[in-house]
Amino acid sequence: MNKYDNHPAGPDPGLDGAVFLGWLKKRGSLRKVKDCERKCMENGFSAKEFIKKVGQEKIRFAMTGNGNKVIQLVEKPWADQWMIYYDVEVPHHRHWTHL
Amino acid sequence: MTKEDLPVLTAEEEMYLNEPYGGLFGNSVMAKVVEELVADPTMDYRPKYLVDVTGNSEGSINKVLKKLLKLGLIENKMTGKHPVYRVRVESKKFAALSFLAYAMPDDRKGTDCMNMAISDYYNSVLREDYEPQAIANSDNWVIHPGITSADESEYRTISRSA
Repeated sequence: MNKYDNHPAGPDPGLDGAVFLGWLKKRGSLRKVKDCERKCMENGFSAKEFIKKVGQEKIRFAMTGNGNKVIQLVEKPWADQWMIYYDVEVPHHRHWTHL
Repeated sequence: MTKEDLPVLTAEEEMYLNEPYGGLFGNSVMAKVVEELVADPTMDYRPKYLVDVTGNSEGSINKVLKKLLKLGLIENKMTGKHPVYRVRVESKKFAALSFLAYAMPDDRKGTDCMNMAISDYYNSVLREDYEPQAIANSDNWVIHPGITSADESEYRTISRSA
């Protein structure tokens, strides 16, 4: 957690959620649903549940022209603030392990 | 929400879907692996996982990982018989590639993600080195020719608590 920042506004995505937001943001804020679900599963939660928890005005399902479902980060400032809060914007020291 | 209710992406948005770094480096195995690793540096990566997410062969993934190891962007360790790779977050290449990842959509959409990331990086990593005067509030401090103090132990104490 970044000690320099206050508790941001809006729904708290949690550390794992902030990691997912960072992953999505660094992929142009847009990925296929199956890629997002696989990523979230690695961190032990479901992308669908995550979207339900934080709200579709923050991150939403959308569709490509040929009908493929994607997940799109909508509210980037909200994501930025929580990523900074959890120190995952550009992490510069390791304080976690997933093995 | 049914599929019919979902917002449809614009043609421009769709163009960048699955393009590592917005297409800047093409769609090579190297670009895909680097984008995946940089996007989540908190994870330990096995080659098999990268084969699955990129759709490339195990041979080409191993070749890229070997190169990235040599370049110092990642490090590895053995868990049983299998190697596991992780991003060296202390590498400047990692920070630069993170900023680049934020810059690509910023240029397209006029957002400010890269600047926000740089500002956070400056405050949390660089500020103490680049703004020592902000913490130097004693007559004992001499700014030139280098940042020195009559009492070095005092400098270290103040630095850590700033």
